[in-house]
Amino acid sequence: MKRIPPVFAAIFVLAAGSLSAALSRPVASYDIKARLLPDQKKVVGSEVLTWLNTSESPVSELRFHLYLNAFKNNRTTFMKESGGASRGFKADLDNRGFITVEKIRIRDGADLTPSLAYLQPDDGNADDQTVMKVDLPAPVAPGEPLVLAVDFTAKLPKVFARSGFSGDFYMVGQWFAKLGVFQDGAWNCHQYHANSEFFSDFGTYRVEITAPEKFVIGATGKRTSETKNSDGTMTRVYEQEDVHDFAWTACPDFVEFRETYVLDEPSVKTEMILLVHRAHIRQKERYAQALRNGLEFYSRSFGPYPYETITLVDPAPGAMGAGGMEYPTLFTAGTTAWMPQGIRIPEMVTIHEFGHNYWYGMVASNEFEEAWLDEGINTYSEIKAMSRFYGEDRSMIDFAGIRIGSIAYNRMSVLGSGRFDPVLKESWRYISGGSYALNVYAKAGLMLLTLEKWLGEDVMSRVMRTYFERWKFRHPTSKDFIQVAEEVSGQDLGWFFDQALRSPDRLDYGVSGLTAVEIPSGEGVFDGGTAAPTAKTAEAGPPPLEPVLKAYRNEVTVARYGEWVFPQEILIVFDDGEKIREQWDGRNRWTRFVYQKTSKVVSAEVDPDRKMVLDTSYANNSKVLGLKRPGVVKAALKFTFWVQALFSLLSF
Amino acid sequence: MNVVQCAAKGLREATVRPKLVLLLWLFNALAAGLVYVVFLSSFGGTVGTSALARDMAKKADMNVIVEFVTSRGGAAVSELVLVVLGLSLVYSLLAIFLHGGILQTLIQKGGGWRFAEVFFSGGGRFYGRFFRLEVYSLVLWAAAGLVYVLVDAFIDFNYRGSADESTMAILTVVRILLALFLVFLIKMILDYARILIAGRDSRDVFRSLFEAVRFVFTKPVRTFALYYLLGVVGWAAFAVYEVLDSLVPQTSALTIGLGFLLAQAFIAGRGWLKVAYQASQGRTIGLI
Repeated sequence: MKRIPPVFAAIFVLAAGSLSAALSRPVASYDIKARLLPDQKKVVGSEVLTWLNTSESPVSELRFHLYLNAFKNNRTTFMKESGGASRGFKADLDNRGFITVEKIRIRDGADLTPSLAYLQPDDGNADDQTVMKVDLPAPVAPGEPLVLAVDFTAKLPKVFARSGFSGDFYMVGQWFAKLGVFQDGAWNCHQYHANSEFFSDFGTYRVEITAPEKFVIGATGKRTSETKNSDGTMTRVYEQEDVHDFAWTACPDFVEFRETYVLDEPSVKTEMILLVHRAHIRQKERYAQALRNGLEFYSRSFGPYPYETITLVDPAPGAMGAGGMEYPTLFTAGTTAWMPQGIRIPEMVTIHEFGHNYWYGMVASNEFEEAWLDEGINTYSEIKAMSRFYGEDRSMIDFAGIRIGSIAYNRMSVLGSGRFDPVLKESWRYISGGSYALNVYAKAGLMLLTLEKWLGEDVMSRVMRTYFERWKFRHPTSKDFIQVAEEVSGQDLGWFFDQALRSPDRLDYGVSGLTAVEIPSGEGVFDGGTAAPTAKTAEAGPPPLEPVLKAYRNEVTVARYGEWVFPQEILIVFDDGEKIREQWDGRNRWTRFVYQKTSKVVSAEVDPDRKMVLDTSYANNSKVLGLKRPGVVKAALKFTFWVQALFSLLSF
Repeated sequence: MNVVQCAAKGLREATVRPKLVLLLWLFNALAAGLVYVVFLSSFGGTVGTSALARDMAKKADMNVIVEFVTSRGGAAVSELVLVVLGLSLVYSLLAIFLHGGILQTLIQKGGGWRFAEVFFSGGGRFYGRFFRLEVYSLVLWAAAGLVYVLVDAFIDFNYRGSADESTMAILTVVRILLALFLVFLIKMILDYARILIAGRDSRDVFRSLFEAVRFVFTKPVRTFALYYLLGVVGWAAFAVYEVLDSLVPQTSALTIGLGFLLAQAFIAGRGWLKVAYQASQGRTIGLI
């Protein structure tokens, strides 16, 4: 191991990231030379990794992610957990993916290859080689850098779980030997799981990509040079500071569109690069507009987009297994040539994946252990962006008379779920892929929307901005998010997050009873032995000066059907138009409000402003007395009509 | 008589038989009535006496649909689907009877018979034969299935893994159109087979089916043109219904009732069209 004196170490680290523009502390920087071999579906590469020990402990071993090895055999942890299928696509067993580390050495120093070993820290599965360990001949002291050289070959799978090839299309992600994160005195370097994404340190990347000249290339960062080679290939160099991953794509059928995006307030200037497959060329403007919307919304809501480029990759037809994935300054979207305008999948995917440049890209939480911090926060952000630009009730679908908004769409998956897992859990420990997805995406997104409606939009906006500002280019945890939310709102929100994050419990309040009973006039013997005036005696007496008004005992019973305790507001409406708003702390299983009035209660509704978007039933939230239900009859008649038409069609 | 004249004659024959059309509608409505009850109970049970139920006549709320679809872990929707499937089967058996009634009504000339007597006696008289026809038609369905599978395999063999989404979308449409064409072809053949059985009062069902096949394939222009011409009338009726339905803002009991009447008029129109089909096809084959 080559030790570098601290003064030189400081110079080296500063050189790895430009001093003037650095937004993050570069911990793991990579200088990679990669050559695409299309015939063999391989990338041959060599990387120079500069790692800085920012911890307070000496480090005597290194751990790397070898993500592509998840596709090496059918007994890897990823394959076992996924059953060989991911995101609706099956792994092609004839086109497996893997990465071979041929040599790893300290630059100008010891060869570490003999000490190379595979670890399985999560499940002990000996067939899994997605985590590699090498021993160092001497520990790296705190504050010291280490420079390594790694030679590797990445065999790409047929597009599966984000990476691979499909025909001439290549999505090269999770493709190089990538260092884990040394944190709290230990390596945080999990195996590649079916339900997990990634976690790594910030650094500066410089990657030379050599590929046949016919390929259009897109990559993380900014292209800084382009050189034609004599063998019919071209070498493009990409560089980017303040990122923690690097992905690239190649396809001769990409059409490249470039547009400078400028926003005045806050100040943003970035180059939008759209790599749209020829087959989807008519969808280009949809992508472009969605990306502009994303840039505007996220910059204004959380903070200005700081990078010089943002690249949208449109996967080739048949390669949607690579679609809908985020990498720093580059993301993959997805569409089809015939996608109707009103089905806003391209827009939703574009905004969501772009949004990950904030929640994952800059605010780099641990996706293995606390996936909601990127997926959930980003789903919340996406719901708000989609609702703003496309209309709250139709942001997902506005087609053939059917309108579905993002909130309803996300509620659908939460309502239809079993309740086994909380939101906060290690990604691979969920009972199923479905449970992972609905919890870390939909439920977490709706949880934050519920929090927003509880705190108020303005307070929530400050919470999100503060969280972004404070934790960008760092690795926050759930505790950090909660701390920011409590600090900004000035409230103890433990009660909220304990239920929302750590428990699989259900939020469901409703009106369980609503009655208006006429209070009879007094009859019989009352205290003091005097007879109460009866109707008869009243008739016999002199006529009243004013008409006797009827009185009613109005009872409204509200109940907590779920386990979540959440303060409630109840709107009660009387037949004379009077409206009363009651507050209830929601702790007991039920409570009752009683009113003796000359008016009758007409309706009662808990959460009339729909603050609790996570409430599992809106139908039980209200009751209306004496309700006639023409709407229900209308729905039944419409449904019956379509069945009649079906009968007619089937039989004749 | 050319195709258009045949079609016009058939439509006229259906128009002058309002009782027949009304009866066909009645059977349809009675069968579907059970669906109405189940849906009302299930859907109504989900929304209860809530403000959602109150407001939904005026405003479609996706949350209501979501809650209904997910209620009882999806059991409510499953039950509804089962009811619809079960009733579809029952109605298919009932339709065999209705076919007999329609043809007997069209064939019967003079004699001072009451409509109900003619219709129900026809339904009963031909039920066994038409039922056997449905069973024998399995041969045709199998043949159609084979044709579909072969074409599908051909497409798959030539375009498997194609990255050309437009072509693949077109091929999907081609598959759907082929499936529909085959379904309608068999339904048309069965129409002619029933006319042959009823028109000749024949008990040789298989022979009638065979003759119907031969007739359709020896006079393809005439038979197909007539079938699709009347099909266009059906689609035109549906378009008219959709336009009228959209013009009625169904937000009150009165307008919802009006919408219901429009819908039932369309369903009655389907019966009318069926009678027109059989009458014009009977003329084409020379038996009505």
